[in-house]
Amino acid sequence: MADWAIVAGFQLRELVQRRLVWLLLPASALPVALFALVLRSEANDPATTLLQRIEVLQQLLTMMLVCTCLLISAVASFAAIVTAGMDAESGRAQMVISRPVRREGVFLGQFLGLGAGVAAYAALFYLAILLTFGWTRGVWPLGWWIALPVFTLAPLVQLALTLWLSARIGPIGAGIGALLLLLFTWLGSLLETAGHMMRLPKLELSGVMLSLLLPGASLNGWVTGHLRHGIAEPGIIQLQLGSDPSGWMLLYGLLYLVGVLLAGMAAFRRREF
Amino acid sequence: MSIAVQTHGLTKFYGRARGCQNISLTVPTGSIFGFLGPNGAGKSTLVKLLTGLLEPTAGSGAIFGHPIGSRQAKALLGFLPEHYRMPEWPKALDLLGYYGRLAGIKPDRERLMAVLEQVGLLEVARRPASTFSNGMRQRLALGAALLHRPRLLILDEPTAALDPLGRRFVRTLLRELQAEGVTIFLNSHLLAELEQLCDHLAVIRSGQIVASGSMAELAGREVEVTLRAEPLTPERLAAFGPVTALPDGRLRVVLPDETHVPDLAAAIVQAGARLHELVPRHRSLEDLFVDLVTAPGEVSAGG
Repeated sequence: MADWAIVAGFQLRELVQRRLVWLLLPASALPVALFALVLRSEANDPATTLLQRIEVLQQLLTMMLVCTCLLISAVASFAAIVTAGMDAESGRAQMVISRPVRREGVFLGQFLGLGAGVAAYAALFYLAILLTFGWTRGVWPLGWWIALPVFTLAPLVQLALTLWLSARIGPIGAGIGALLLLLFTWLGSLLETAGHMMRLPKLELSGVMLSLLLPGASLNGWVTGHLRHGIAEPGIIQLQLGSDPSGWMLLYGLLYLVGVLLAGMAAFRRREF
Repeated sequence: MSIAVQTHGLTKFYGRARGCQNISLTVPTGSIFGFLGPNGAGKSTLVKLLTGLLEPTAGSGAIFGHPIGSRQAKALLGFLPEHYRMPEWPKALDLLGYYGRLAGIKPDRERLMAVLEQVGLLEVARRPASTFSNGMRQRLALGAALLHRPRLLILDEPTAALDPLGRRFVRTLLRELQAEGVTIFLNSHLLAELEQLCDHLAVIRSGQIVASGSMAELAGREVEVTLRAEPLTPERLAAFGPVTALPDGRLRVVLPDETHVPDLAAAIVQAGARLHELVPRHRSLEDLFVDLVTAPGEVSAGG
């Protein structure tokens, strides 16, 4: 079996053994339950028209997916920091690296093992939101399942970035750096939206540039845009965070992920333990 | 002489700080090689260089002829780092299997059980490591280092967390491994342990080797004799070697070798003194260590 597969399998099993992971799942049900409550209460408002109702639904769904994406990305960074920190501090990394393994394989295995857990968590969260949305309001956005893998991609990028930074500057610096980048990126999306609405091209361009630091916001923008279109009606004013969804966003996200993984493998190969 | 580890001018700097400098060592195959030095002397740096965890700033080294850090060299060595804390969730059997696969072997159940028996953990093979005592964890980690039948075992403070019984167990195990032809590189602070186990030794101070060679060569042949005789003045024994009067009234004489002990006893009796006590003792490793790390200069006994 290849080094990366051995490490990935062990990493995933270790993740599943952590009590914190099993506490995270019920804790994550709370925002979904709140989302269900909001959807129900909004449905009981007799004053709204159909168009207004769809508009509100789109906005609620967008906000929920944005918040969830931020949360899962932060969890992904946390998982990477804990793993990298513990491996270095406990001597486990030394036990592994002193064996005849390819260091690139060890890094990739760590990413795949943790990534499988993070992707499963993101997928569960996404499905819970979409199922809650569909069952509560009887609205099923067209092609909602297509957006599922894209939704899981943003936290995976965050994970890869944090692992790479950990190999370069250590886990604490990596955690701070990755979370700051995440915040800057989302701030960029907000600036872009504000610039677009206020017709300020310079502000919009600044937002675009800032949001390119990490593709998480763009990928999430693709997901929310795709789902909004899936429940769109003509004449609705759409809340759009960031740019309209495009294939370029997906391509950028994928290339970014591959690039960060390659950089991470190179940094891990040179890292001293 | 067949050589397990050889280094030439191996040097590691962390920025401007010196980890170790110009380390040239030869570890004979089949020996138990002790590596000794005060805290911060560069012991762990050298161990990490040998195991490929650090890249040398200068110099080179080889393990059974393969460059240090290469996959071929790593395949021949088993390593137990200092302060290793294993994951607690896997069963002993699973953890060994994991490290075995990383070492490039597909450990069958028979081999896993044999190693667990070797480290005295056969009965707890299916228990998770979280239920193990510190000593059991250390022995399991040692088992993980042994699983792929390494020709060189590098141990960084392997008995630091063990009680006296655990230490004795590890000592016996290391002697058995040596008898099987395994070379053992032992980095330890425990002088008594090194004295009991090692046949070769190197002492590092401030990142540089200040002594290396076989234990017999390094310890020398001098014998220190502590005696109590009355009436006797130190001057009467000065012909035998340096004499020191101890605060409790005894005298300490350093003889060139142990053949002079009967002559010393005879001289005391001939001087008309009553001999109450005479204890000859070879210089201990602790004496050697204290001399080496406090005095300037370098001692080389070959090897």
